[in-house]
Amino acid sequence: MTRCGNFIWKKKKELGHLIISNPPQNKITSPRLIEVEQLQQWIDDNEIKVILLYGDGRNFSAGADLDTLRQNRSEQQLSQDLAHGRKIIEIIEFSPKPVIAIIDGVCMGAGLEIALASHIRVCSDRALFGFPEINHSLIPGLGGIKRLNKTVGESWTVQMTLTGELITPKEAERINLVSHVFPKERLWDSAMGLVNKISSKNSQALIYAQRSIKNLKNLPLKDALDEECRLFAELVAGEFEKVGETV
Amino acid sequence: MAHKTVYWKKENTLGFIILNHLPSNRMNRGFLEDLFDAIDLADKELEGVKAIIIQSSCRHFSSGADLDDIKQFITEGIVQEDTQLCFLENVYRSSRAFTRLKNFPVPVIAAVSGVCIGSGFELALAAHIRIAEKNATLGLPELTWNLMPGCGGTLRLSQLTSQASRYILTAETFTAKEAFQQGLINRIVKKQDLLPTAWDIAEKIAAHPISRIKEVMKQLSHE
Repeated sequence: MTRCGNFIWKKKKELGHLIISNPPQNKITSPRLIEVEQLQQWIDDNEIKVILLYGDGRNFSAGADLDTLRQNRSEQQLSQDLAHGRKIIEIIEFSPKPVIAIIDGVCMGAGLEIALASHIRVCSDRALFGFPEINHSLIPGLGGIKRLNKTVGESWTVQMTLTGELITPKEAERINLVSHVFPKERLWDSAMGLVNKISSKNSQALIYAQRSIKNLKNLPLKDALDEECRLFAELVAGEFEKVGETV
Repeated sequence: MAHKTVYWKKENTLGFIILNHLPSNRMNRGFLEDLFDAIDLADKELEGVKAIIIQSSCRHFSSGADLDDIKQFITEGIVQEDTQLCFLENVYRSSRAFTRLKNFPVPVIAAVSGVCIGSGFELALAAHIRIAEKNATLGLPELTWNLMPGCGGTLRLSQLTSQASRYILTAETFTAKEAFQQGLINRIVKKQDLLPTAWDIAEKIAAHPISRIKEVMKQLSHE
């Protein structure tokens, strides 16, 4: 187990556990989130196949610790730190290994922004989601608005971001913010069922499929379609060429 | 004349691409060649066509790629150079044929029955409108075989739903009901109503001037 800032990393066989840790609310004390090199090193570990993202204890994360946010930082420093934080969230979003967020308790503000970077989100029936920044005359600064928009659409993004209201697990599931809601006492058992469905798949296939899905963000459609063909052909060669060798 | 596993039929202002490879329209090389031919022919005979329906003449829409056929392709070519390149050329052909459907100047409606998975679902995703009978099973389960969708599925599914990663990485298949809830299909009908409903939608479209239809499709251009 290693700690870097508000994050802890645990490696358990082929699963990497990326934990937001500042209990009880796991508030984030720096907009930088975690140093780029450290996160990259954790993600790039060859033995890691799937990354689980969750909070330490009963909550995912209540978001930025507003007291420390303004402390000891000039406007310029804050701006730079936010840019770094956005880069971190991009690294999670474009992680070659699937990132699955397992959300219990509060998932708000920067916490929700981090969760939105993950590829799949599941939650307990006691979770709560929201962007309360507007209540403090702020707005989500780590790319959360765009990502929420991509995930749940414009109407819910505008409603959540501008009213600051929290939404329930049932609503979250209905609008596709999460894919599954599990009873709190069964959250981990059920989440691990889903995780195992994924971690039991071939590593290369997981990485290529995930890469192709994300290519829509980086490439024109035509190029992304061609790249999908190449990735597919490579997987086929990998699967069936072994057979050929015995011929 | 050889029996075709996919054929094109034009009836007044409607065009039909009929998938006819019993029992489940498995997409082996022969099927894909017939599909490319049908799309070529459709393109040539588009004059006067206002909507196209893709439907199956059997119980299932399509069970997807023929893995044994692919394995044979690879092992046949193993003594030749550039097996992977040769196979890749074929993948490009399939993917681009599906994209051609997506870029047709008139709408393509997929009428989905039974199993519609893998490249079968990718074919349906290349259509503009999808309807399904209530017992249809859909999905992109390629990860089950250490593969991934290779004909637009990863991209087109993520254009339609933010749950694409989940469906593709778990390789799960889902019901028509779930597909409807996710916005992947527009309507669920009883099996006996599937083709009549597809006709109905196509006829509603065909009641309008072709110029308007083409203008709308152009605004939605995916090129």
